[in-house]
Amino acid sequence: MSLTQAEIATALRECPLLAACTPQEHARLLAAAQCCEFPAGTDIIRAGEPADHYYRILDGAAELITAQARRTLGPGDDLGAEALADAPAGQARHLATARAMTAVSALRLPRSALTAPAARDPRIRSGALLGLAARLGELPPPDTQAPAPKAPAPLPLKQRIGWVATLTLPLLAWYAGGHLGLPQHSAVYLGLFTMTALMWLFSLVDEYIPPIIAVVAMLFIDLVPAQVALHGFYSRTFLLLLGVYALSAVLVSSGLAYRVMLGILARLPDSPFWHRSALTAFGFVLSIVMPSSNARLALLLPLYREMDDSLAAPAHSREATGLMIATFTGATLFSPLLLTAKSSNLAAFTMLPIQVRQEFQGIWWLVGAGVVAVGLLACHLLAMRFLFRADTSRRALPAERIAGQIAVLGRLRPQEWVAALAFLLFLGGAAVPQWHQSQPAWLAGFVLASLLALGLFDKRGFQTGIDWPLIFFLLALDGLTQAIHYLGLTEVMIDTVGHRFDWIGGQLGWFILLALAVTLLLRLALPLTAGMILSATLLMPIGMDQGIHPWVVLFLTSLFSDIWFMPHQNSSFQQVLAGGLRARCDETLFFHYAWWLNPLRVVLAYASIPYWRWLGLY
Amino acid sequence: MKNRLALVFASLFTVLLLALLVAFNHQKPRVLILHSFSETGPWETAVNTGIQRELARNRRPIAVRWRYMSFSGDMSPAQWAAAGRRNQGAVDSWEPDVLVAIGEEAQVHVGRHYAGRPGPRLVYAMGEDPASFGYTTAGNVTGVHEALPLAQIVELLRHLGRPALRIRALGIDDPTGQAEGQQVRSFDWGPHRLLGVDLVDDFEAWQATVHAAARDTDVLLVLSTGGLPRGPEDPTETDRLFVADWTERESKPLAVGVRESFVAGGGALAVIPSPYGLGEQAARKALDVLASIRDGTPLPPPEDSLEFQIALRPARLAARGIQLPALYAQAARASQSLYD
Repeated sequence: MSLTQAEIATALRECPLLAACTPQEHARLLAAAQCCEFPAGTDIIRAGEPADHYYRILDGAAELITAQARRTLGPGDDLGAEALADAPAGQARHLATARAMTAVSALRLPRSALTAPAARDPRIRSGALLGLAARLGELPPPDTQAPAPKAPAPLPLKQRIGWVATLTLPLLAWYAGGHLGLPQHSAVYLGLFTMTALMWLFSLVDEYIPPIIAVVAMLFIDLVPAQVALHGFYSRTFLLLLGVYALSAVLVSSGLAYRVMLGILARLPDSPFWHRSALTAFGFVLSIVMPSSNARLALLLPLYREMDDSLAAPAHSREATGLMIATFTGATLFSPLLLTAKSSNLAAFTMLPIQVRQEFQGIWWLVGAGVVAVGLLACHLLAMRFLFRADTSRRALPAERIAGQIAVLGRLRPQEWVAALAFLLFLGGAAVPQWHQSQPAWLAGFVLASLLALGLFDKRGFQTGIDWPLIFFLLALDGLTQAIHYLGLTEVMIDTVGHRFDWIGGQLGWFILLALAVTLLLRLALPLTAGMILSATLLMPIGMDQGIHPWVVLFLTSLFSDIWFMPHQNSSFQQVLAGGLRARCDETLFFHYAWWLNPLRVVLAYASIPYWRWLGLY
Repeated sequence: MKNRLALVFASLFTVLLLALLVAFNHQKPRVLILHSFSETGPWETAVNTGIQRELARNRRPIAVRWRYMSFSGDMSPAQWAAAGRRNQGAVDSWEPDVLVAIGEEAQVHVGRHYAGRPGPRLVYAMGEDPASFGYTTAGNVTGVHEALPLAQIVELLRHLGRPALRIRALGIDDPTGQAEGQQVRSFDWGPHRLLGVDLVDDFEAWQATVHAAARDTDVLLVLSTGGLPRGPEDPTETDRLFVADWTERESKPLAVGVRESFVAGGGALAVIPSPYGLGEQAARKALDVLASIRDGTPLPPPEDSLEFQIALRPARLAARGIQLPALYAQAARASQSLYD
């Protein structure tokens, strides 16, 4: 039986096992496929021999012979599924013999051709091996037909409006800017900025994409030189972000983070308050090296689930809600309090004058945020202690199980030692830079280089452990804000607002009000990172013009950008929703707690005024 | 991108964005900067620094391209002609709004081809006489004429403490020397007296002139020395640094250069047109030309270069028993032309 290439291609497409292959994989399989003829009585495969080929019978009948039974196979059946086993070459062997009962025509695919598709889509391998197991176990083979693709959901109205707006309004902004007397370069920037803001506002693409588009567009038309548009890529922020992400990835992958969490749980008193405090404390520790509340929450949620399962508080009870709130707050509360706790802090940090950057790159950020830190933490702990009391019949945490979990982890492994040392090195270096006489960013770079050299952070970790989209997002945002200064738009803004902010009169109290209004307004439309950076961009020149310390301006935007009222404003909330918020917690209580933190942030900002005066920041 | 409508919108957005960006680039004013020599030459580098300094102040998007006629100064007439054709081709294909031609060769082989013709406006930057290229009568040409800082030299001579000095200028008999000689001749040297401008054909004649100047000259003005043949029978170029050193050592009158290479080679003193300033002025002129095109106003008028630099070798100056005010040494230091 001789088949044309078109017929072989059809046979490959009709093979259920290969239904999940991409067109490119099918093309490659076609190059490797061969048509084979087996006279009656010959063995197609033999048990114990290397499974180097996979066969699909096209014509004729064959007999599958196992130790227990014999089974007849015909056109459409396959042989040699062992070739898809994930074993070193030569070690995958046939488990049965197949003998041609009549003349058999079969399509033959070499194992090497199947390796890549099987590695890409595990369904191909598991489908083949399940079929093999069923055949040997004398069960009907499973249906390996790929599920029919779901019809895509219609495009939501919000996105339709967003796309139409994005296609038209930037052009209008450009045109209007030109006609309102803006210089050509400012009008072009206004158009690009409008495009970016609209794409964020309507969530048309992932958050990190619009600023990249804007930066590329600016470069394409020479609106700003490369050293301005790509400023972030050769700033210290780049290396600082890389180092912090690498450290964070190694802390998790080495298992140290989980061990520390279990250790904290094992040592703290077994009471609801201490359970919640443990989650909060761990959130704080993670905030030092994890510049993303989503990443911290992703690490805390599994621990929350383990604790929640063990404590078995009634669903929607205050105790169950308290535990979720402690998890959520632990991951998010410290974001504005540490430079490295929030990626937008790191990105906006480059806006500060050099001397201020040098002063606040270590522990001084936390010192400056002291009143807010103490206030937020105290109020949170008091709320956890008194507002979310557990009933008396609550179950205890299974101390024995936790001890068992720690025992299973065994002694600290070398990777954990290295991760711990790297963490301490970074922590010590950031807190006391005098001993290394260098910048924390370069220390972060050293930590990154060391982890790479030690093999603890390998190529795969480098590819997957670092949030590259977020880094590109931050650095592109930096380019977008640098362009504002380069194009002289800061002066245009100040000229436009003129003396409208004279009412501030250098009074921090009034400036806090302005910072609150600007940040809240921008956060209504923009995601957290973009909202904070743009707030800082707008407020920094006004604040400095009013004699407000630039770090205070930055801190206020960081603090107020964490204020949220609606679910879409907080991506961490979406995480806890997916993590079982509605099933386990009183959602109203959760929202009330989150909302009460909002005015608290404002009150604490005002309470910081005398402290900042004492520190010489005001 | 699963939804077909979203894909349509995104595709539309991408195509529209690309079309707008490309359209924007096409309507963006174009400036082609054409140098006579190579991009690695110290003078060209300094001129480029000035151009970039001025362009960096500009915020209006423009497209700027740079071209260099020669990779070396040692080119035959046929090679110059070929370089001219290549660069004319580049101008014709890119169609710049403004062509900034810098140096004599850029005018000879490219610039003057566009004078008085539709096409790019021409901004020249050179020491030669613009009239010799037909620029003064062309409606599409303006530029910066590199003027020797002769007034500043007169001011400097006041510090020698003599009321009237006898001045002689020495240069090469080539277009550059002739243009410089013309500037020297037409300058009012009062209260001093210009004895003459000697343009020589080779280094042997140069040596003879320097020795002869000892008889009647107080100040020897050393013009450009680039391209000076060794002798009547040897057309090989004499190293300009060697010429400078020899002249400084052999000249009885005070030798004052008009190029930095004179002091770099061993001369005591030079007052030179600033290449940085020339670059800045040329770029500013180009931007003014773009503004005039945009506003439909006449081209800005040509002008002389304004900036100058002091180059100084204090040890050689002291050997002649001359003490200049500290201001000169600081000016030379500021422009990185103070030589130990």
